[in-house]
Amino acid sequence: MPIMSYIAYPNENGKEQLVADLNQLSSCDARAALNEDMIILITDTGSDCEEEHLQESLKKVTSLSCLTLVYAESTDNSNHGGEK
Amino acid sequence: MRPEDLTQIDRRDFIKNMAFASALLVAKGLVPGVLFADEQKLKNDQDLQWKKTPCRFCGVGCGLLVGIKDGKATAVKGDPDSPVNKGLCCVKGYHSIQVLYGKDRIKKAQVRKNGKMVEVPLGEALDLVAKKMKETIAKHGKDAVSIYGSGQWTIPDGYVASKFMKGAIGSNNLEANARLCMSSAVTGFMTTFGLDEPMGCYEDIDYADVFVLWGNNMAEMHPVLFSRMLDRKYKNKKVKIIDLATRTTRTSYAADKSILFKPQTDLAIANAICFEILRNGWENPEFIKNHCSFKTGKTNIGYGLEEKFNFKDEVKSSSLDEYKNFLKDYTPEKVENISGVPAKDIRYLASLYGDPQKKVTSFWCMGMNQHTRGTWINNLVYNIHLLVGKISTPGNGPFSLTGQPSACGTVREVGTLTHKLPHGVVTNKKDREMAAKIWKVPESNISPKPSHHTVSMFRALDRGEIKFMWIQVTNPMVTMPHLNRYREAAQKEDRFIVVSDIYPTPTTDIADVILPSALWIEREGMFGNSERRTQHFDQLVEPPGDAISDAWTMIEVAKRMGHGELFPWDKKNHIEKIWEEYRLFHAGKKHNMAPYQLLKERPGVRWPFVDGQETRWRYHAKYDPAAKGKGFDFYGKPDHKAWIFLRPFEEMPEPPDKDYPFILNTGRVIEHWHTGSMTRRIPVLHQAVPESYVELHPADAKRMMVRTGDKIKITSRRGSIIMKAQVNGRGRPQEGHVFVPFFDEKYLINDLTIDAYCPISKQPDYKKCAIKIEKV
Repeated sequence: MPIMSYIAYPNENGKEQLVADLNQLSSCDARAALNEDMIILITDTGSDCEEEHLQESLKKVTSLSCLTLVYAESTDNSNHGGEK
Repeated sequence: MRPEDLTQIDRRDFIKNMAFASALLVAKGLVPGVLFADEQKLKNDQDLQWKKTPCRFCGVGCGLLVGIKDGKATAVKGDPDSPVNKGLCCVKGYHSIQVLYGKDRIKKAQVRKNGKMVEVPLGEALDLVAKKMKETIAKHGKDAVSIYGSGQWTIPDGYVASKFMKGAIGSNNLEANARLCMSSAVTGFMTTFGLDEPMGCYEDIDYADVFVLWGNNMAEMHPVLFSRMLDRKYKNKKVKIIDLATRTTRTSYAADKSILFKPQTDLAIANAICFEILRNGWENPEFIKNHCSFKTGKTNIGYGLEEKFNFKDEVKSSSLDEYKNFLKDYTPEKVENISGVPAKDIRYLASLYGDPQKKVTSFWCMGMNQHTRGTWINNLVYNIHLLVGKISTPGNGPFSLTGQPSACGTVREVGTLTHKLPHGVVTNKKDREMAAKIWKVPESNISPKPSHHTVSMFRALDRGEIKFMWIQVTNPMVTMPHLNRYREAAQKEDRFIVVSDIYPTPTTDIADVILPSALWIEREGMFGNSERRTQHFDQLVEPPGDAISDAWTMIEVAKRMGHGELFPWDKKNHIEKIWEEYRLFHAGKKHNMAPYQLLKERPGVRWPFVDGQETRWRYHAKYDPAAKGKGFDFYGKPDHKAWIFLRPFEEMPEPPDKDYPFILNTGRVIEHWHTGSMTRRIPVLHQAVPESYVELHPADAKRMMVRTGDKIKITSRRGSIIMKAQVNGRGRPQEGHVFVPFFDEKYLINDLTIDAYCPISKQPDYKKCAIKIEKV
């Protein structure tokens, strides 16, 4: 059940469009900077499957120029690493 | 709705706030002045307590603020008051607290019974460890037991290990994994300057005009310092970054110039730069005359591959004229043939170092240190800076970076290596007397003879001279070179292996006893970073299950062995007491450490700490209270001069040939910390790079008809492995080379690497051995 945050950059002069496109996706909360072409995106998905679906949807957002992951936490403390 | 569901919803909102806060912090770092409408809401979280700590991961020593709520670490951000990182973090730092909460944390002690590990009460496991140590010493002698620790030990952990092994048991069988990453830097400093650790500090980044990175992928390995360097460049357009490396990396792409050289030939390049400086008259004659001596050492010194290999250097005096004559073998044209670096690029490098108007900082880490001539290449880069007098002043300095959070603070300063004491070396009677006096033990307890460095220690385990090994905070069953030999050694019939750790690893797999360790902010401690900065952290959360600190674990075993009088401290105050006792070793202007209370208050203090002031640049009277006179004073050497060594180029131990025509290089990626035992348990980091791979040059891949994802068999004279290829990924090796990250325990690449080492530092070379590759 991951919660993540990203820095998102729109295509030129497309900040409002990108905020609208991202907020249309379920699990997304996009917040635009007041004075720069920059957006903070927070995602909250209920399962790994939903997260995968969201990642695919994000790839299709044409108003998005660049997306950089900043923070991620899995709220069920599940461990995906370290297996032998 | 059940109360626990309500709690869960509150918690998700809380985490979302933290996710927003982290992104906000990064946004403000990227675009100063950027504003968001929701910023004010973040300031209203009254329940969160923010506490300072250094980051758990690399040797940069970034200051973090960890948000604690309901006894749990739930948020993390860069500490804006930390002069190291100024509020910035890398991807590992931002996710660091998640490493506390992996589902397979070791919470209970385990003992092997009838071939199977079973959980036991901690006291029972500690009783067994003490009993086995005593029995082994009684039957085979004190040098049949050993402790192998880490640059991730806190300073108190390392201090207790040293006092326990050297003061109580009386054996020098104490080593740490920093032997594998930093010992060439130590011997480089010791041979040239007579004292360990950098003369400069991170503020050099704020003054330098040129940065030369010697085999140092800072963009991935020291990302916060790399960001500071880029910031310096963007604000000062004349600043240049030169990446001098054997592989094209993210650092190369960000640099002004990328220069690739053949592995091992950095020795020749450094000499050629010096040749060119002297040929053009760019040297600083006054500085050389007043502050430098010329020395030679042995040549053709071997590679440590023979069993019980022994080497002692012989240093003899030389002169500037002899040095000039020696350098005639290293004209840029001759070195172009050796290194593959065009002569014009060597001249360009020399011109940067030689320009009196430019301040130059050289950075390096594993590329120069994991090298069978590691001490020599450290010496040679110092030579460059000494010839032009660019050292020990703001922006001018050779700067060896560290890879672990306390490789400097614990291993180098406390001295958790076979030949070391907290002050000085075991071979020096005065140093032994000082240790005996502070530890309140007879001087005869402290053995005057160093025993085994790391490779030698594992070879002794293989031969059966060492029967008992206690491994703490490190994972040698992934990291030892020529690993398959030492894995078999550890599993031999009458060997007894104790492992203190936080998660299961290939090293816990070979253990007879596993002890649960408290991690980082689950206990109080200190780390010491690359710039001589000691940083204290409080215990912020409770450790899980029976886990306790490694320092306290060793104290408990020492008490059971009858050495309790050496550790007369309460569990509550032992860190403060250890620190104040340890400080006695470093009293004086050359290395004085800050008092405990001050460390608690500040985001780190750099030593020497004298008259309430930190020392930023050593060996210059303007900045360093230990320096005499008005200018430079290299007081580490008896003649108060830095030594310029005449060190030649010598070949790598296992050059490629017709049977093994490729060169294997190993290293790290930004997402993973060393063997991945922690970062692979942080979901976002694991998912970013879920498994290791082998990087190929595109021309080699094309010739072999290999694409990314195809399986490749890599074989050396010691072993083979099959893994997936990566072509045109984040890094690009040269043609005829491959690169493999070592973080993934599913692919034990060190089964293939060679256990050759620098005969002076005893540090192994993980950067070059001969292999062959085939498409599977």
